[in-house]
Amino acid sequence: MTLGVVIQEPIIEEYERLGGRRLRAFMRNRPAVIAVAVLAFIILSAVFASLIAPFDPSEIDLMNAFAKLGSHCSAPDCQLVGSHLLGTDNLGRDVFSRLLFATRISLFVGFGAVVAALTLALPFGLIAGYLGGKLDWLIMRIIDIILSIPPLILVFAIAGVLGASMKNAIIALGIFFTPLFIRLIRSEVVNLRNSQLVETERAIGVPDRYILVRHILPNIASPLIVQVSLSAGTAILAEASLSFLGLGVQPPSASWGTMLQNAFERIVQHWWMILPSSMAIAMTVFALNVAGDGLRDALGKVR
Amino acid sequence: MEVTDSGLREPAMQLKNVRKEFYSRKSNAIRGVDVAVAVDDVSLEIYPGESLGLVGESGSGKSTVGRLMLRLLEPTNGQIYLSGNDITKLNRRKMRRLRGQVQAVFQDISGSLNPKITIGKLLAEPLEFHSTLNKSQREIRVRELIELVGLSVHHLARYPYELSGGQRQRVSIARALATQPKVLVLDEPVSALDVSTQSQVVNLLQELQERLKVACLFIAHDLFIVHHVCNRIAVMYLGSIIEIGSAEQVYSSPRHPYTQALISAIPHPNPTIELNRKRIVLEGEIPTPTNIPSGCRFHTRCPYVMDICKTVEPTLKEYEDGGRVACHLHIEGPKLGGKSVDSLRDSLAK
Amino acid sequence: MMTSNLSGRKLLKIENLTLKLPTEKGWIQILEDVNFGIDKGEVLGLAGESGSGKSLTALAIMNLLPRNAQVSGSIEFGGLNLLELSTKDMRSIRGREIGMVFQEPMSSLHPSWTVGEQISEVIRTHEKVSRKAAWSRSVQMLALMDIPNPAERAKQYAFQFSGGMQQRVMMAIALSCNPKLLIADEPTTALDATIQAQIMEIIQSMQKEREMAILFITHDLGVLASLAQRILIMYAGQLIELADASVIFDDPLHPYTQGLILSAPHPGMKGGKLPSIKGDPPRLGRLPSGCRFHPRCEFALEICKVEAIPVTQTPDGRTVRCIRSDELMLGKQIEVAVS
Repeated sequence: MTLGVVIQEPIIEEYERLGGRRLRAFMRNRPAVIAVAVLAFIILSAVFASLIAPFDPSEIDLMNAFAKLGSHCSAPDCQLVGSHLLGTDNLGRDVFSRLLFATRISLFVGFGAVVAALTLALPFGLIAGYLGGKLDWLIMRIIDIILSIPPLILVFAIAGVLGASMKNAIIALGIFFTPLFIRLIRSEVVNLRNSQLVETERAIGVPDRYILVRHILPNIASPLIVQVSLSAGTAILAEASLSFLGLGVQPPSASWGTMLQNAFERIVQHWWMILPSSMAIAMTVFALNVAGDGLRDALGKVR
Repeated sequence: MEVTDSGLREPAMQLKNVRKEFYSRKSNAIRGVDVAVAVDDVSLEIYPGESLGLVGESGSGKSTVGRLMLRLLEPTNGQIYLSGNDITKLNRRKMRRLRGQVQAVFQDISGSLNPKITIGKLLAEPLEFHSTLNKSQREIRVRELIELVGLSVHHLARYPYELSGGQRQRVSIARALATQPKVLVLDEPVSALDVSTQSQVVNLLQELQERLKVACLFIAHDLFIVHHVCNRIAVMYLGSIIEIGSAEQVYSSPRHPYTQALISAIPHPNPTIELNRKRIVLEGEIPTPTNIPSGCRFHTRCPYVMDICKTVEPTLKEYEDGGRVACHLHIEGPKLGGKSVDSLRDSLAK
Repeated sequence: MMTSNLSGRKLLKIENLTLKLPTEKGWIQILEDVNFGIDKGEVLGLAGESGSGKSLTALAIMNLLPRNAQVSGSIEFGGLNLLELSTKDMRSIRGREIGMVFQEPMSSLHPSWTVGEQISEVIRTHEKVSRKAAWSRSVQMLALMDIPNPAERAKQYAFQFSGGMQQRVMMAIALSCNPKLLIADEPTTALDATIQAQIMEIIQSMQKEREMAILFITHDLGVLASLAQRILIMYAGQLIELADASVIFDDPLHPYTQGLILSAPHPGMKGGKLPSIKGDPPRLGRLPSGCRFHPRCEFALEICKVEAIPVTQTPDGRTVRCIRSDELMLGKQIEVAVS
């Protein structure tokens, strides 16, 4: 029998990295991949809005108001000469161009709010989860207070107090998401706090702040990423609601919400104006949800 | 302190009258707290270069003792000395600096190794915080460490999930030895491994311990392995050490009825011997640490229980060979009527 | 209601059992060509480590495999091929003719039914008895398992029992309808040593009393030494040795068996290195070519790395999967190591 310490043979086969396995698990989910493609398309169109848009989104052409989809206009009847892919609105502005720039704004507010919330939630969640005790208790009670206010009212109140603007919309929505994120982060940290992993690191003598950043944070990333992508959808819807009610982005700036508001006021006579903005919202939120679910499945499967 | 030929030896680590209580809400009432005494007035010493085995079943408190030594838990009472200094008095920062001298290897069920970090970085981590080596010096040391435990530098770029259970335990051992600790606490280091891998790792531990002269606390439930690897064995039951002595003595001629039952409970792999030896099967369940029996805590299951056992807790009595046992049969000896130490000896039909 | 026909000695006969499971990388072979039988009233020990397939063999017998598993071969129990039975028929076999005890009793017991209810349910599923009768039988079973105050404890819930007691409840459930075969999958592994001894005693006395056959699955050879009549060793999904318990410890034929026996430390081995087997058990899906044990075998020859090794019968009726078993004097090495 083999006695003594034996040198282990090096692992013969290449073990694929965990990242690769997860990526492939995700790729196998056809709807999720399509959703990501759709999102990429939307984001790119927002980024390159100035290049793609045929007209200036705020340029008015009163003579050509309420033009139908695909209509073409030539001088000297109209100021904006050219094809209006999605028609024009009540002030003759090209809807397609407005939509592109609105995408920019809506995505910026939606993602911005979520990112802001995450940034604010991380330190509180990590500290509350890791240290526990009175600090944890205090943070959780504050969160309870915030969460006990009906969300819409909360957001409206904040927006009302701070004044309606794009920046304040991001702040209001950010405050809305922060408690949820803190809760999620905290519960993940609490799970890990009592794990063998953290106990080992503490026994080695690694300072707490290193444990949090190096060992806990990377291992809670997965559920966080899933939550962020799902919340982004909610954030975009929330932005649309805010702007729709006039508490968010202000006209004449275009956001999906303001466009929706604009169209809604004239829905009886020109019903088709609702379509571009509402479809944009629906498509984006749906894609975000499908992609988020796909992420959850892919990240959860491979342990 | 131990008296040797060269004079008195200072223990590397010493526990004095250490007690640890855990509190939980009462399960059968609305108010009130249940107190679980996990460790009750335990004193023990580990000398440099020796390996002390700590065995016991659930509720014995052996894992708690390990964690107290690592100061991952604070004792409710008592002192813990590292090379003569009381570490229970130290604040967190000072304690952290001392951790380089007391390291641990745990049972790797769920993973002691962060799956997102490479083996190389994991090995370097203790050096980051407990040594003054710069990055390239650390790298050299990491290479030394990985080969010390029988793996190759090949493995440094791998992630923990790419290694087998036995290999991961080797990495954990290497990590624990990185800072050249004086004391190593091993909490069931091989229990989660396959049988064929267990002996590999046990051999490794034995060799390293002899070579590096580290004082080891080997916590396990497998008396066979502990007997093979350790110089001395301490047996715990419900938070108290009920027998301690040289590995040979505790194993071949155990004095405490519980130790006898424990040894008897482990089936012998040779069927001829197994079928012929005397079996001691204890009655009843193991009491929980919230409900420790009065008097001798083992009296509810002891086959030799006497009246005095139910009321008076026995203290450790020392024999000439250095072995100590907490049992009235040994303290009062043949003075008590009925069962006595002699009948205990007779039952050792190995 | 299916009743097995038990004329003839063999209670359970497994032939050419092969099991494959699908993964993202394709099919993985879990079991390959497993053949063995259990006689009426016999205790057969099934030993192996992780990846050996021992637990899945048990699940295959009970037809509790995942839906997408691909099984072939036959499992004959009293004249019926269990693999071909309908779900309904299999259900009447399970519990009544074959009982099973698992490793983690806490996960197998119903958390919100009393213990008495769980035992009664099994009885009433298979026999036409009244609730009252079933309940009193449950209490009887608990008493049989040496549970004190059985009448009161029957009204308690699983979490109110300690690990050892829970395992006794599991056994009460498994034995309530007096099955002819008990499958015990690592029943004592999660228990403390002294509790383990208690449970083993109960199992042994039950077995003698009822002349029940037991398929005892474990990784601990020591446990099988006094309990089993024959021992079957599995490695990487294959049967690699089958022999009487009285012979296998002194005279194993397969290097892996010898390694297992030697690497369990036992008295008389103080000091020096423990014998061990180099390397690790293979991961399923990455099986070595030829003999699956060859990377870890110190007696491996070139041919072992290439050829698939068949099972051979020795003249004295033992089974082994090793082409060098007749030349290697493994028994002698054990004598040397132990002395």
